[in-house]
Amino acid sequence: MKLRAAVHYKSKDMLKSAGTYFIVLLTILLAVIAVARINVSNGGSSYVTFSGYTIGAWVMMLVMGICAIREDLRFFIQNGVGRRTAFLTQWIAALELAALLAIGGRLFQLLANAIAQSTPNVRIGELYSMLYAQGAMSLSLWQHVESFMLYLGFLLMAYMGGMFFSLLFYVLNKTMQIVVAVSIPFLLFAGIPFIWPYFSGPLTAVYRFCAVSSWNLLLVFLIVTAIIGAVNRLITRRIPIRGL
Amino acid sequence: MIRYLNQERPIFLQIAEMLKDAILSGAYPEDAQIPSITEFSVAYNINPATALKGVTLLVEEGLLYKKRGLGMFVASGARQQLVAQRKEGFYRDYIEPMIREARHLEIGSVELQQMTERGMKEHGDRNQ
Amino acid sequence: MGIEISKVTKRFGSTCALQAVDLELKEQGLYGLLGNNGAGKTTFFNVITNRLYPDSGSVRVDGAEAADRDDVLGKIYMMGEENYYPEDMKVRKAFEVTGLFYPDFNKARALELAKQFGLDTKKKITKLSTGYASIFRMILALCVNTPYLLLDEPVLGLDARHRDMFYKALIEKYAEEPCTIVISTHLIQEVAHIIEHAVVIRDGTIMKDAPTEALLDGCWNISGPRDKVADFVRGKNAVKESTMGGLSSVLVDGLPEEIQVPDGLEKHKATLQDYFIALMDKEELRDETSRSCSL
Repeated sequence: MKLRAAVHYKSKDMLKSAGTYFIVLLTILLAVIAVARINVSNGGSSYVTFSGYTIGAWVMMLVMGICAIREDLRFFIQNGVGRRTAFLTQWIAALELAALLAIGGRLFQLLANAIAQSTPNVRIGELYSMLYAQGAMSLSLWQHVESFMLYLGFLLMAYMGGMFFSLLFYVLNKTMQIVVAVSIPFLLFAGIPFIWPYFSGPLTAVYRFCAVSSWNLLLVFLIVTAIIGAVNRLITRRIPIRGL
Repeated sequence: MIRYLNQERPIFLQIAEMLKDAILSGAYPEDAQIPSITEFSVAYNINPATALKGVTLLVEEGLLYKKRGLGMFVASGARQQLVAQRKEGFYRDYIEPMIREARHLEIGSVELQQMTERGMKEHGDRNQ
Repeated sequence: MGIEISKVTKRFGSTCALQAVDLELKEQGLYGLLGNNGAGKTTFFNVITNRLYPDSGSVRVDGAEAADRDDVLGKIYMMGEENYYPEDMKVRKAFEVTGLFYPDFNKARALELAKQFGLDTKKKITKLSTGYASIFRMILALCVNTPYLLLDEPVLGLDARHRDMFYKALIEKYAEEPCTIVISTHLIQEVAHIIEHAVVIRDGTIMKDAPTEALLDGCWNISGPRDKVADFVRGKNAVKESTMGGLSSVLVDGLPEEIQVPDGLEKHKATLQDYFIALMDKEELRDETSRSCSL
């Protein structure tokens, strides 16, 4: 019963977020096309590429994951909703938002394709098409399904990842927070090149596996999401929930 | 009727006393409804159980009666009963100490009667 | 059935916030959780509502283990000192969503109280002044209609008029729909006649747990000339003494109701505040030594 109330409470926010995102991206797209048209009418011949939808949606999911968890744990416990339900609600809300953004992605692709027909110097890029359809702008129905599913996994992973960082900083004390904050960029720029040779074997194997089909990549996304999700659940199980 | 509660005596006794005063003064006429327990406890910032205890005391003395679903009412004859009750108290609290003090001052019963009559006159005797 | 707290211990680093606390809160009753700042009142509430897990011990509500169970947690509403609402949420919106989680929430009454207290429902919760933030949380607490209500220092930051209004609203709620209400406070005089059961907490330990009447039964303040008072209280259980010049006043426990004091002395019923202060003073003397957690 509480789960339904909690999901209902989150749903509106998710719908609002997805709607806002879609409108903003559409506005940017129209601006890009306008610029391209002006370019063409002035005799220019440069190509304009727009591939912001996927990465934008990913970053948005990451930020939502970072922002939502602490606020929701607090709000829910105040309203008599336990941690388990609060966590389950996060999954449902994330899935809802990811689905909305994935559907949005399809609509965006179709819309952009329709508009771009009359503006040949505009290219609309997106994750699936770039990886598995040689950047084609017009996709078959099955390709749309594959793309939708890939988005879903990609975005869910972002949400759970964001939640993980939020929880990590919540449970760490001040000193450890600084240590972690400093070591993240360090690991990215120095650590990965350093350990790369040791893991190049398995990583190359994963890369080859993913290259085969979008379903393989989706599987990898889902496995990563499940692992982070499990860690998140372990953290939320007993952390103190404090007010502001 | 609202007056301040003090720390000297239990609150429920003070509530009972206050109710009796109100009945005696006619603020709550006979067969009229008195405020509810909620109203009493809110007015005095006290626990409803305490207010109930005070009211129950008067019910037990037959000064109030309960109408199911409606509330508490002042019993007919309540004022009369209170006057009698207080007269008894008057004798104990005022007359007895007065007599004791009169003995100390060697005031006889005739002189005492004269003094009483004087007092009655000076304060405008309502019974004459 | 009530809330049963058994052997609850909670430590923060080396300090012991709660020490093997056992307490039973019965169905229906107005409890006062009395203690100085830092006595463990908030931690106690936080453990009951599962905001915190105790290090050991358990909380059972109506016979069921409370930890992380929605159906059980939904029976309790805690009004804390901190904000648990999203930073951009407005008062009106909070009134709306509370009904989702608490089906018995009386929104009409909440709006009525908001008007009475002058709470602007269009404001963001986090933008409210300290006093109004308390009022906001208090209104929710008075209107959710859960069987158990925990109020943590509810009048903090409220002015005299709003305090009085709060106590009246609280008593009205309790008189109309009896439930279990626990008010934690260090302002004892204000709740002395409202609560019917006092729980005194100090350094994470429950020191007294009794109906207020029983607690104060036999407690009298004897005052008068110093020597006379000293003669009278000799051999009796004198809890606290205060002197001023040649006069003194002693709080004595265990005197029968009808005891007569000699001429020149006066006896007054001790108040809950007198009793509380006496108890705290006595404890202060007892353990000047360091306190540690016993397991």
